[in-house]
Amino acid sequence: MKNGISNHTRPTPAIEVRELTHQFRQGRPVLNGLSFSIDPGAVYGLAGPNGAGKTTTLRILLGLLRPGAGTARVLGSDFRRADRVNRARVAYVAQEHEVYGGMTAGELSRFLRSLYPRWDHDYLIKLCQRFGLPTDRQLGRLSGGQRREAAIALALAARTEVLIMDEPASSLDPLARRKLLRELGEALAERGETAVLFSTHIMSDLERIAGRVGLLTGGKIALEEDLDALHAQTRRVQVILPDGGSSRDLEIDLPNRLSWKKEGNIESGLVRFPSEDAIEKLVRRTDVRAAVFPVSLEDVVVEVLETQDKETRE
Amino acid sequence: MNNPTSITGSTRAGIHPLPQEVWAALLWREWRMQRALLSSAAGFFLLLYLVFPIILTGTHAIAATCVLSAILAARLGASDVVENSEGFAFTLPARRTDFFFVRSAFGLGVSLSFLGAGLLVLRWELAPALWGLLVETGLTEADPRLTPYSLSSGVVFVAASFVGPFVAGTLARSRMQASLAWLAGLGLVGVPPWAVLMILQLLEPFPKETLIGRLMLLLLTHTIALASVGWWLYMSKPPASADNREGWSSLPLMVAAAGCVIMIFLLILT
Repeated sequence: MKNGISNHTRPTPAIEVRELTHQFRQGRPVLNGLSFSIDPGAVYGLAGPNGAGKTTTLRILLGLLRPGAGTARVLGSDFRRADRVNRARVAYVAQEHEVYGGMTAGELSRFLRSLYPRWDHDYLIKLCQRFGLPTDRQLGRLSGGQRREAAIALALAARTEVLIMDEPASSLDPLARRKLLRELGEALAERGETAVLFSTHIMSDLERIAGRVGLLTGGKIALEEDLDALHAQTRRVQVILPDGGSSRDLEIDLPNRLSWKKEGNIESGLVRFPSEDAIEKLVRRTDVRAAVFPVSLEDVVVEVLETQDKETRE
Repeated sequence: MNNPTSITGSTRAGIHPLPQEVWAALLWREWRMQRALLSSAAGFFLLLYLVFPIILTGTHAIAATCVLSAILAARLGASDVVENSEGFAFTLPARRTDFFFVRSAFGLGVSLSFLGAGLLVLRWELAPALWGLLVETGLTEADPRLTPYSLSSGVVFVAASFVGPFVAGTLARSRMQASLAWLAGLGLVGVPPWAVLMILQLLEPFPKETLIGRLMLLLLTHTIALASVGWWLYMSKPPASADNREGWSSLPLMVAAAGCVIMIFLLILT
């Protein structure tokens, strides 16, 4: 113990969502008991199909929408009621809203430096140069992709403790998206203390910059993993069984099956192994023929969504 | 890593801004965004008061200021909607209250300044004095006399012409609604007091001389109430997602239409 504080106390989450529920006037529930939290300095990707509720979640976090039930806190407080000091610790890049198009990046820098105490004008200029953005042209006169890059540059230059981005790269062409994600990844790596929450439906974007991913479907988080662990321990497994056998009968140790199907004497699916040794152990078995393949995040997400969809229909 | 030496641009780097600094930043932004309108208004001021003196009475000055006030109010109130930036604005460190009050103070201040300047031009007979340097024009003499009573009525008219469209602008959810905010706002602020007055007149007829006085009192209280309700609604409004390609926002059309409406109203009144 030091200063009365336990060394084992978990840091206050930068973002915390508890049992969030929301539905639109048409009656379709969008969020149904959503819960997740993000530690300071973590980069969390909120993935999900179109219409899953990703934007709704971010808007509730930022006080732009009132939830039906539950709580959504940024740096421990309700953003809707936050004072200027707490609001200055959070930056947001919206999907459907623009930054002020009638101003240039230079003018916006002058405006925003009076609002954000850690505003870094030099860093903004550096980012604009990296993105190839003019600082003396009104943002409304730039292309859609350039406006998005400008919005991200402005958000990064605010040097806030929390950065929330809604589909930061989804409207860009593949080349621009790759460039933006590379720059974003480098920028986030430079500033380890900022908690980042970004939403996307493009899995390759997540793999580029996220450290942890949450899959939002059916109004809840269906899958939440550290990306490194997911890549290291999740595999597509194919088991060819002897006639009449089943994986359960043969005590094939596959405890955490994200998806599984049986076609004749072949069973296959995605499995989350507890360790790399468990993978080795399965492959070395001589009584069954087991093959293990690496999977991408997109494979995992698609299979989980298909399994969820099947369960919902049943 | 947060390297303090890399933070530049503010002499108070790392220190949270004072409320005055936030308001000053918002004021600067509004000035930056409305300077085209204000420059045009200044140009029209010179034309209508000095070059082609059309505004010759206090009533004309009030009417012209009401036109400016309504247009400026709608543009200020809906400036984030027109730019599709409400989501961005609502998540800035400035609170919605800051936006509401800075914009309304800016707009009212500008409107009342124009009214004051116009009345001074008439009071000091600047137009005949200027033209008299060049020619003997036989220019109609201005009649700027305004009693304190009519001056205060003028201030109420200008304030009401601002508050109604401003509130309508803040509550707009599309560019089309933003474009029509000046008209909706004038109706919002003008029709209820007028309707109440007519009902009172029916219930207990009163002399015409007291019409203006009662109208001003009703207009003043209604304007204050409308501003309060508008602020409260703005605080809880979800941000509009205006597609910038839909609707229209034509300044000349708004000016012409607002001018017609106000002139018609004043003709009926007088």
